[in-house]
Amino acid sequence: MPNHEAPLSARRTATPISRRDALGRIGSGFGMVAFANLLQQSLRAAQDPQPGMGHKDGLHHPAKAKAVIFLCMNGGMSQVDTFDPKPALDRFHGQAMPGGPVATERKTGALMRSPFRFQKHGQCGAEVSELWPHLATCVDDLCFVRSCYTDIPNHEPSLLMLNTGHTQSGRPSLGSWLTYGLGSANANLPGFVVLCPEVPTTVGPPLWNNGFLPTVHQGTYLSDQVERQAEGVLVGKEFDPKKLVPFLQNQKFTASEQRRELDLLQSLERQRREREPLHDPQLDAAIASMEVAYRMQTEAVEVFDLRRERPSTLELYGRGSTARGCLMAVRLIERGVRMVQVYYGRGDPWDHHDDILRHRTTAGDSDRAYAAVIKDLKARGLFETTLVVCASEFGRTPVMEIGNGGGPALNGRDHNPHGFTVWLAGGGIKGGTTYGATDDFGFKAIDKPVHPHDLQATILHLLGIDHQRLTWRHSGRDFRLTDVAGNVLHDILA
Amino acid sequence: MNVSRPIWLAMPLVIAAMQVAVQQDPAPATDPRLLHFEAKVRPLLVNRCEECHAETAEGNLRVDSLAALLKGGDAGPAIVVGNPDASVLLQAVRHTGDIKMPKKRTRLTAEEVDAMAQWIRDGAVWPAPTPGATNVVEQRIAENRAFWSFRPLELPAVPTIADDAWPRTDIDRFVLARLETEGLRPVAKADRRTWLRRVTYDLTGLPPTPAETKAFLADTSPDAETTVVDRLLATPAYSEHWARWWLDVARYAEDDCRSLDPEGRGFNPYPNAYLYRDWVIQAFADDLPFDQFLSAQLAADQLEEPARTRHLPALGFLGLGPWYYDNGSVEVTRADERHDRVDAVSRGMLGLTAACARCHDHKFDPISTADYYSLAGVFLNTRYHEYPQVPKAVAEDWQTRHKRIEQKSKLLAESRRIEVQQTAESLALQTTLYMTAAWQVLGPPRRDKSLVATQGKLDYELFDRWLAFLQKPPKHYGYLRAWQDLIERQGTKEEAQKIAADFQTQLLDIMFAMKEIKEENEIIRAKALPGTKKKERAKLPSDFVTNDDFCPGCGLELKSLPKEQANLWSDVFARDLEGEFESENSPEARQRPGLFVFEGHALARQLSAERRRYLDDLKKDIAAAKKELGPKFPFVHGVEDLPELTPIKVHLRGSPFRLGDEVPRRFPAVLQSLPLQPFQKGSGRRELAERIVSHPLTARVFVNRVWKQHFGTGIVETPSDFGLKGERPSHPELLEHLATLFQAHGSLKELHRQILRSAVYGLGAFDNELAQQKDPNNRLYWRANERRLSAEQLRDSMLAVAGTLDTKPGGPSAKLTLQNRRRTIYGQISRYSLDPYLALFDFPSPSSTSERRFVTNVAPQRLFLMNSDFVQEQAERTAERVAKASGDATRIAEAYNLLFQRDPTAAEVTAGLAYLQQEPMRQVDERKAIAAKAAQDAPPPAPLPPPPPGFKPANHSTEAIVQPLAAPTKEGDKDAGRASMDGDEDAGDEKEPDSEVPDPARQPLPITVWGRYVKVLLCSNEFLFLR
Repeated sequence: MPNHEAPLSARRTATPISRRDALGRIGSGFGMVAFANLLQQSLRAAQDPQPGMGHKDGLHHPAKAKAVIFLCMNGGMSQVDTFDPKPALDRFHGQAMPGGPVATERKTGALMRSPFRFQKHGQCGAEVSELWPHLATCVDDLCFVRSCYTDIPNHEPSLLMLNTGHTQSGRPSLGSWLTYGLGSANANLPGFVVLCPEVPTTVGPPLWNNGFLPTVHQGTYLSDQVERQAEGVLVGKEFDPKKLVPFLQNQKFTASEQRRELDLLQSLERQRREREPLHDPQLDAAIASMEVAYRMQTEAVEVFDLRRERPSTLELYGRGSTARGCLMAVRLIERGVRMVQVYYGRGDPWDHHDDILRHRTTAGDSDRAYAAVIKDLKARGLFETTLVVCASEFGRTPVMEIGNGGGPALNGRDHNPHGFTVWLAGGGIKGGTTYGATDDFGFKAIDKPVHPHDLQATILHLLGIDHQRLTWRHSGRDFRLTDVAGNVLHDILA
Repeated sequence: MNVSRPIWLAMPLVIAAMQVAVQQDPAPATDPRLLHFEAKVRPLLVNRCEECHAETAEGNLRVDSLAALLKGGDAGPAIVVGNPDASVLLQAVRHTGDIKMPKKRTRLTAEEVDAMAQWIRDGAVWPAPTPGATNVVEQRIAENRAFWSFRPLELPAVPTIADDAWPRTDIDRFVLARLETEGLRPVAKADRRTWLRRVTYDLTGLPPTPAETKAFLADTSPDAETTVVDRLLATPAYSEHWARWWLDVARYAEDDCRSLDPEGRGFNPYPNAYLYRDWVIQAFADDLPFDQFLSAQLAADQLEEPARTRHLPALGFLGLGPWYYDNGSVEVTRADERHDRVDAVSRGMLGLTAACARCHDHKFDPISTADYYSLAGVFLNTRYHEYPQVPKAVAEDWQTRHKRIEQKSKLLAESRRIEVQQTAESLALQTTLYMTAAWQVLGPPRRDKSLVATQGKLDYELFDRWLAFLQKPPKHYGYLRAWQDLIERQGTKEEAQKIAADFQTQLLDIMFAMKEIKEENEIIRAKALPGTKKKERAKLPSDFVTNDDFCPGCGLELKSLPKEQANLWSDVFARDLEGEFESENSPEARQRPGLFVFEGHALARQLSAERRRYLDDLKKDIAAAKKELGPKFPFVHGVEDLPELTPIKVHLRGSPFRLGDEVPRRFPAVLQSLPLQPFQKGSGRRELAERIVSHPLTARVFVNRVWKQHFGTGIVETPSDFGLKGERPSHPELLEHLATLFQAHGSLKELHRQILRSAVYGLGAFDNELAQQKDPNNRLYWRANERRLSAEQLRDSMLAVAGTLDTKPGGPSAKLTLQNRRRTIYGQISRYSLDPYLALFDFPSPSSTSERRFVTNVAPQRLFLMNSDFVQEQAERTAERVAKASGDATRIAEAYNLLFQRDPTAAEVTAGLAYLQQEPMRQVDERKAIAAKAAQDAPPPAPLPPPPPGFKPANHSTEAIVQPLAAPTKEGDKDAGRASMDGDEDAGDEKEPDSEVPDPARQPLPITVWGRYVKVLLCSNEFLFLR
């Protein structure tokens, strides 16, 4: 007998369940968490004969949080006008940056003071600008990481870096890695949801792509544009939760008619099963997932139906698409969705090159809603188990942007990848704290710099995952969200 | 048999040279101890130890050479030759000493430990180091030229087997021999209907028709199966189905993600990508010999005519690979593009994960960074190029006419700009007049504005703008303060006139200052140019070398007015700054014109009749010329060699900013004998192709992919990794047998025939307890696998059974809408936003070469089956097909034959009849209810965007919103994630002007109980799974 069976027999003992079988069982609805563990063990084992995760819940270590709400201020929020006050800018307003300008995307000029007033808030005394009056009441729950930096001063690569850990499109995004590692706790809902009225950013779908992971881990993008006419209310008359998930319902069919269809199908499948003795688990999975789909039709619609919320809750969130997205995110998390991302809008709406005063509009739309996420999570008893992350792809320069070929030079700031602020809150985060610092002008992260890979490592850590051990074999090597970098920010953990 | 005909003249010589060279390679070791080492021990060292004990040498121990093991690490020598028990290595893997290995991983099995012990006991033989190897990877390269997948092909002896009755072909003997050594037997063969269904799907992606089934069952000749296979191989459906199999490997897509897309779409489309897809289809139809098939995709441009012209579209393999444009720094994106090419070629064709060696020598395989960059160097010297697919004269004529239109458009834009500017300047000279008039309205006289305008013969619109302008808050400049103070304190007419005159002077000063600055900036721009011609913005994907190519002149430091002056200038001569604050999500509000800026109709009012006519005529002229010109001629998105070659240097740690030694362009060292041969001609693509097609690895990889497609599992289950970390073949001799024959005949169709006439292919999907226990994953092929239909098979076969499949071959792709009834391979494939139907059914990401398709059975797929209009429509069409039969029982039987190629059982008929008869009046009621509902729910007029000009299905209101997504924006294509299969047909490229009348045959049918019944059958496992 030739001596080549080693891999085969090794495989046989190491993987009682093949990847194919495991994937085939995704829809079988016997508890998504249990399944996710089965899945990930077999996935990992199929690639690597070592057992995946040591902890009893199928995690690398005990998790602090079960789910993530990621609030994305796409376009680039200015740190020196919001959460990172720099009195030196007032003193040196109009003067050149000592040591010369730092290279960013465009030409920049003199230092520019913030037009917004800062004030201390909460027990911790964190300084927050007047742009965020509601969020300022939550500072004791927030951890401001003031020393973030990224690689490239352009939106697209930086958004990709923030979401997928790589500056080119094609890698799996954070949410995909999370559902790959953890599954979703609700088999009737997608595990990773992206919310925005229009396709957000100029990158779009590559930000929630599954990359080389199985397609089942792709983020589900939901638009609530159906009610865009309904200005000034959170939930307009035309709002129809049934329209949010593709094929969730078809108005041409009633539930009882579908029940009959399903009963017929089940009876035919039963007959075939009795007739033909081969029991491929795939087939059972397929039948079971039909039942799950049937239940989804009603359960998923219920989740998306914001009209079921109390008026006081709706009031808490305020108006507009960001408010709606934030409330939807909390409801989804409440029902076991692993990660929800809420983008501010299409294009780069926070990108205020011309006039930083325009931050009033974007912050104005977000302030109440972001604060409401914190308050509402607490009210629902979910704050301790939900990680909230609020970030832009980069910050803005403390110097004003100039040039523009003789056009108007107003009051704006350029992209700044060298230093910016991200805040985190909720499950496992030490609230009321500030981590790291930028220089005196808020340009460069100088104390404890934090790269998106570090944020990603920290997020995975809080969910019970060792970012170095959540891998996927692709193109001959084990890929991770954090590439070959990433350090967990242990100092910000509760 | 289809004998390979070399397509390049030089090739026969090259092949001959190669064969000799290959034979000179060291013969595979024959010492059994060495065989044991290679088969059992080295894989353990590589897979289980080297992660920490090679390059990183943890505990100062390396295990990648005998010398290193003897030298040992912190714990002393790792092995004591001849004495396993005294060897630290053995103690560690046995967990008997202080050191327990592997750390944090599962322990070695007893079998593995024994293998290691035996090797040490037998003297720890290690292949002799090769002279000249100076480091580990060179050593590994030298040692691995005889690795199983790199070895020359040799036809193995067909094994003898105990049961001589079962096999039909040599393939069966190899399979059975393997089963017999495990004490297993194959299960019974599948019935003839099952076989026919299997082979028809396998070759064409479609189910057999009832007529085909009947004919086959009636054919009792011994050649019946051969007849079927030959018939299927000759169909267009065969080449369409198998082309898609290769397109997965080729990461075929029709666009690229492009963040700074000038048209704001977020992607850059390749309108003629389909030429490559159609070339692949044609290649399969023609059974293009395998060496030509692969080499054309790498170097068709370097073939001799007429092969060159015929095969140019094949260059899409490289030309349609992802280009990263401006998504990041140019050096990095270019390196990333080369990486994609190296990866697609090495994994796709050679089954080698060479891309791993971008940053460091491969951790496991005998591939060095020098090997990687020697391949990357080929692509460094290859750039994107478009080859017109029409005669040169036609292409040139089109381009000439196109250029003329562009010039005219430029002229129009320039004329308009000048008109706008001159109008604005003339209006600036009337500042005093209008401001004084404004005092009449805003000042103490408080007169009616229309009265003032009429009396003063003022332009109404301009006067309105002035009034609004004068009341603006002084946010961006202080120039209006004097005026606003005057109004505040109710100043006199004389004061107003004075301020107005001053303001006019200020405006003119700023206007002239700006003119001067613009002139200066023109000089700055001109000085920055290398020649005397203005730089055009780069368009082709590989044309971006610097940011200046993307945005010429944007990096220049230009002059500008002081801030307050600039703001006033903008507010008056460019755009209203206030408008920008209204709403972040409404771009139109941001572009409100400045005080004196009149465009469109407003401008026309300001112009003389003559000028107006001139502009109108020019506009009409351009429109007419555009119409006459028609769409651009098709062209291949291909590649060509750089005119001047650039040597490549190793990128240290993968960074294009840190360069090491220069490396020649050549084939990986482990795949050739010494001395290494650098490529001589141009980029070396042609030589690369020659090397690839003549290397045995290529045939092994290709044959294995075909096998996997037929059986569900490969002989090597890591089809794109035949390296040390890849799986070893489950049936090595079988693979050698197939690959050796294939290398000789080169015919894919012949390979299909060999496989399909085997007994193992014809096995049933039956259970066997012993086999299930010993080989639950059926890696030894003791039964047939149950396989879910692919996205393409599923959609295509629903259309096929419904009788609605449009079999038109080739041509541009279209979205997979409800009305699109062509085969799925003709649907659009986007990297930017993959079609949601395809994504739902596990289509692989087209961003990199795909090794395999995952298969899921998730609930969202079931929602699609239950609720999509597409499935319902095909069910209704199927129901219509069987309606002609008399009586429901007969109709049920017909439906079963259409879908499953069999008659229903009595119980199935009973169940069907019960379902159909439960609600005898449903059909009538339903139609009424739907009609009523449609009337009631008639949607309000669509706000944004206007409905597409094409046809709309009757019940459009319930369809277009399956996934309410960003409504297509003004650019028209922002439809990421749209559930297209139920959406409307886009006003796609394909649509001819006269096809705007709805085709009644494509109107969705009303829903019926019968349609529902068929839908249930379409949702059943018997339809969704192939066995």
